[in-house]
Amino acid sequence: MVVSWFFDYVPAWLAIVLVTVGSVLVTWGLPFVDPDGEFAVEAPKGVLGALMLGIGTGLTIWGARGTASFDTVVVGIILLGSFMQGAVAINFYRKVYDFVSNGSLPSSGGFKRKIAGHLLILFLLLVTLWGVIYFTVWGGLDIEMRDTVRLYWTVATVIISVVGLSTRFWFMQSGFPPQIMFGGILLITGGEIFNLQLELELTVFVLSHIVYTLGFWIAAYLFISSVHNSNRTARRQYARISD
Amino acid sequence: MPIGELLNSVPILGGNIGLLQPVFQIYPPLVLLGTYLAATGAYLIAADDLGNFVGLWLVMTVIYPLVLVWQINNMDMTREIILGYSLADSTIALPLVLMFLVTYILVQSLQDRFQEVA
Repeated sequence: MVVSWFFDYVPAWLAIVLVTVGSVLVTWGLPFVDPDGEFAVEAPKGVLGALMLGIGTGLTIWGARGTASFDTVVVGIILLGSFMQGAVAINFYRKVYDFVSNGSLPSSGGFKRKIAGHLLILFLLLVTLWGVIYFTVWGGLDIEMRDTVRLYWTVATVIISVVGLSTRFWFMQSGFPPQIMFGGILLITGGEIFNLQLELELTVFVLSHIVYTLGFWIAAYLFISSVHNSNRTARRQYARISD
Repeated sequence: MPIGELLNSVPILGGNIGLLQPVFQIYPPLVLLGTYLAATGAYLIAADDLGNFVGLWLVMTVIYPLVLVWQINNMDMTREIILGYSLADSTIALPLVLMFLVTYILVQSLQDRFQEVA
């Protein structure tokens, strides 16, 4: 984010495409949040409705890209992304609690997945770097060095953001429809590479840290109250058995 | 024919319908089309039966555009209402509502997840 204070991401439309596609995916996932719930959609009426709602949201966002207030949408997306990242950061403490209360080490599958995730990031970065070098030297691209660096930086930011957010949000996959998870990742990535004015970037920088902290503490409260309730239930059951 | 020219030849996308010209100056045609589609989709999801859906859809299709044209011709759409935002800035309402919904779902989902673990 700090680098973007000094130069803009290129191509500028990539951010809007990511935000639009992300919004469409998120909207398509919304009616499927709880398939057994009261608000679950009925086929075919509800499915058609969800499709239209998603396409309509995408068109609205794409159409609003030139309006003065579009920056507000991007700021909202960045803050939402910070909130979500703050909230899922509590997952580390959940793992520690799991370890302490159950005496079990984190599953080897998770550890292997993490290593594989990091290797994948490294691999993608190297492929991107060599791809950019190839196209710059032999690809006949008629772009200046400055634009090449900006293009590389944009591609690298997108890849790192998508892979990084995917690994962070992976543990939520059972509670989230995949459309919302992947749509949210594209939405946040799009927000991150959107070119805002410097003053707004600085404001967002400060606000996003505040919102991150807020997300963390709200998730911490939810976690602690869940543990507290669970302990109370266990104590009651133990007392009933003792009687 | 270039794509831009082709799109502009479609009345609603090109914004070249005389009556709607003032509306398009405030709300871009794609925003109106998108909001219309999104609202139709939302009605389809929410409506209990066909009569319910048709009623809502007719109000949005027949009555609301006239109200919108009247509103834009008779009201100052760019006058600040709150925090520097005017009625013309309501184009951002749909994406912002979407974001609030996502935040709510995330918090609910986290709570469920923690309860499973605890």
